[in-house]
Amino acid sequence: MTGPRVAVRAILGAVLIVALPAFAAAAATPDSGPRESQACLDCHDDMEAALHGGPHMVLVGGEDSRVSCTDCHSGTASHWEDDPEEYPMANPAKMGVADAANVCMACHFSPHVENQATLSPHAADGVTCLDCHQVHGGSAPASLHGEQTELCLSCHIVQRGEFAKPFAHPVDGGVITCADCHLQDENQMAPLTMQGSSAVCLQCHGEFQGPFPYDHQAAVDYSVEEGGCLNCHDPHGSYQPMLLKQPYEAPHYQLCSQCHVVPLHNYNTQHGSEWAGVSCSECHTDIHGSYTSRNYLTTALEAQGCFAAGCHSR
Amino acid sequence: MTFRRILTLALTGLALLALLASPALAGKLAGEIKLGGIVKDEEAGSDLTAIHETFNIYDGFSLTRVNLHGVLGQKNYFALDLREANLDSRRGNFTFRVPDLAKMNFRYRSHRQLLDAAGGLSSEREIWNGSLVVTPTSALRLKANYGLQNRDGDRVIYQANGPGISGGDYEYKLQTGGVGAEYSTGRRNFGLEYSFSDFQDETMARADRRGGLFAVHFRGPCMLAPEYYTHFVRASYGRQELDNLGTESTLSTFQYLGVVKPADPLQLKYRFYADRVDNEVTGYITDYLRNDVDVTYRTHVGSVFGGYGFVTHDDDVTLTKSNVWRAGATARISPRVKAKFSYAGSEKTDEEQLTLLKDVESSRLRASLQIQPTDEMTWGVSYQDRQREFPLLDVSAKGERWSAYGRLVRPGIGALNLDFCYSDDEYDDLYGGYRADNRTVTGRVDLEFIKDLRLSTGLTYLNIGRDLDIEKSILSFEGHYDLLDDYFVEVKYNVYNYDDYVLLDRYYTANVVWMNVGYRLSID
Repeated sequence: MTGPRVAVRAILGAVLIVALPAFAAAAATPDSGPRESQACLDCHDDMEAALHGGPHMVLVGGEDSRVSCTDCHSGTASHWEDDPEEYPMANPAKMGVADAANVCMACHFSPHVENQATLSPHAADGVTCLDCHQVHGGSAPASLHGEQTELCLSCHIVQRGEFAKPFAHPVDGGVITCADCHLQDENQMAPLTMQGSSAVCLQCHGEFQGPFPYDHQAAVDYSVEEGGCLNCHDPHGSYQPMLLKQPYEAPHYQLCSQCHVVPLHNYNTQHGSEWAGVSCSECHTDIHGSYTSRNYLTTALEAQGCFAAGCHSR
Repeated sequence: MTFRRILTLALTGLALLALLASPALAGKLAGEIKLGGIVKDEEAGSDLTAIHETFNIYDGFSLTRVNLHGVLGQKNYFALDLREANLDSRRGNFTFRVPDLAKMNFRYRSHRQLLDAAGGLSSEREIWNGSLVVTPTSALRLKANYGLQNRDGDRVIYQANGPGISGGDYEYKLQTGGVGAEYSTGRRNFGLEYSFSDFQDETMARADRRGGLFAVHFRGPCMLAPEYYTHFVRASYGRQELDNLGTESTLSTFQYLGVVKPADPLQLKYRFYADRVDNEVTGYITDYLRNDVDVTYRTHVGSVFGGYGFVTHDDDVTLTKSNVWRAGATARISPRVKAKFSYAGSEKTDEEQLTLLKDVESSRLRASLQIQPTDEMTWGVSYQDRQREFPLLDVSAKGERWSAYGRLVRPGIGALNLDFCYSDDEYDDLYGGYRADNRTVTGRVDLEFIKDLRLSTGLTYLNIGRDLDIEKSILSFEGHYDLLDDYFVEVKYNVYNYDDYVLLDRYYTANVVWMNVGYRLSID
């Protein structure tokens, strides 16, 4: 493993060495150019109030600023010198999804914005950046039009119903937000981590990440069984405790029995019918993966001699 | 812990005061400050798996919200957002941006989850996140981020036979972070990135682990047809190891995406994804390969899209192959009528018949219609059908969802929102079946026709039937009154009810009142 470590450090070092002089030079030399924002506000005087306190406010009127009104609203000087009706400026609010995203991406170059211009389901549905974000003003984080959860659920009506279920992630109390799970790895392709979509869950539920000496294939995203957290859990809300998709306890065991056909648990020559009707979870406690038992059995069974050689030995 | 909480609150307050008093605050400032308290009365059964709705709501005084945003100096933007700061929870977000040069963000969240109504069991999660993006030139972007999560307290024991190897407590620390650099010129973007994670569990040293991942990406036009064809390429290499067991697994990925737009309404996409996971524990090397082709045609009245993917999954012992397809259309029948339809299906074949699930077939159908008869009114309906079958195991899961909504907004008078959702899920396997259906109604009325006064009331009601018999409701009343020019008072009252008529010990009921006094400020 020493090779990759050295390579990583060398590349990062090289990047920093190249970057630092550029950083110093840029800090000392502002990138200036003709700015037209004050001229815009002379006529569009209502915009001054809209921009007040917002993240884009500081960018108008600054002579040394790299961004001004005309960076988003492109056009020609004829608009303010001749006839504004005859020479209209571009308006991102009236552009298509990808074109609007490209305007934003000129400054906000991030996987989220980039994805909006290419693969995002939002883009496919005609939802533009401006449908969620206020460009001119706004005090909410990320300049959203409202509280994030309420904003998302105003369109995602099925999810509103799911969050109302008895067991749900606490978006209602604001403990987590939609974007804590969604929009996390929006690079145009699949996640980079080996947990796949489960990587989002493991941000908070890190104790289940593994690797475990005895992995449960249903919980491992890269397994040929194509597992992952979403195999067993409904992330928005569920009728079952622990956000389980199906019952895990008596009288229903569907969560386990849909994959595991284990008739010996109902009757076998060693135990008779002792385990019939007993919830799977009574013995298989470490179902996300175990450090000790290939059957994810609880160590409490050790006292009963269950792990003896020839029986359920580890 | 109490001392630390008080110290955190005190430091936050001092930082806030220092910020407000700073001579650097020569720009503009706007926002609001809210102080208040919560009164909570609840009752629940002893079955702790019925995690009640109110486990994140805390009795007592609360610095409910501090939201300040504006300009420091001539042009540096900042936004501070603190919420629900009390002895049990607090969360905050601070952003500082120096235009053309840097953006910093700090986020802090801490919550003590009360896992039983009496407060005897609780679990606390504390999360710190910080990120810094520096753009020394318009072409170069340097970024770094760090996250720390601490979790302490009780773990709800779901298993009748004890808590399992994970124990009955939480006490772990998870650190994550990374650094990266991107260089952009024109439509080209090149980046390097390194990220790491470190998990330390005080209750079980065997769980300690660490990992790192190095990634590189490139995005840019194809030299052969730069106007029409764009490439995205990404590759990574990472590893994870269990510190005390000496085992590790590695991951390498390669991803390619090509987007072609031969003419404006037509877009073609080709995606290739490959990864290899070498897991020393299982001894398996698992290869995953995926090829996807998608076509989209868009016009001003709608769009049509379709795609096909082929996936193979190989771990030396088993090999599965999947065919995946999707198709759909959107239509703007008029400026006020939109319709959507999509279908996706997949068929996985287990070549060796050695996987647990063998062959798998699944499909999903969605349709929706939205109508806006007037500027003030919107309503819509949607339908979704999902099916999954393991034909060789005689297992099937089927589910359908109907939803409908209506919105009516009358400026100066108020708004009415009504949502309805019905779902029906059925699972069958060799042992039998399980079926549950659910009706959810949510409604909210907002009134603002009285000067300075806003009133709201809302209801959420669920009824879950068939093999289950559960009812849940939340009834809410809210009032907001503006005093003088800059002050306001808010009161909210919620009643929660949850009853499981099969498992009788699963129930809770709660009455919660929030009261706040606020001040809106605006300084030039």
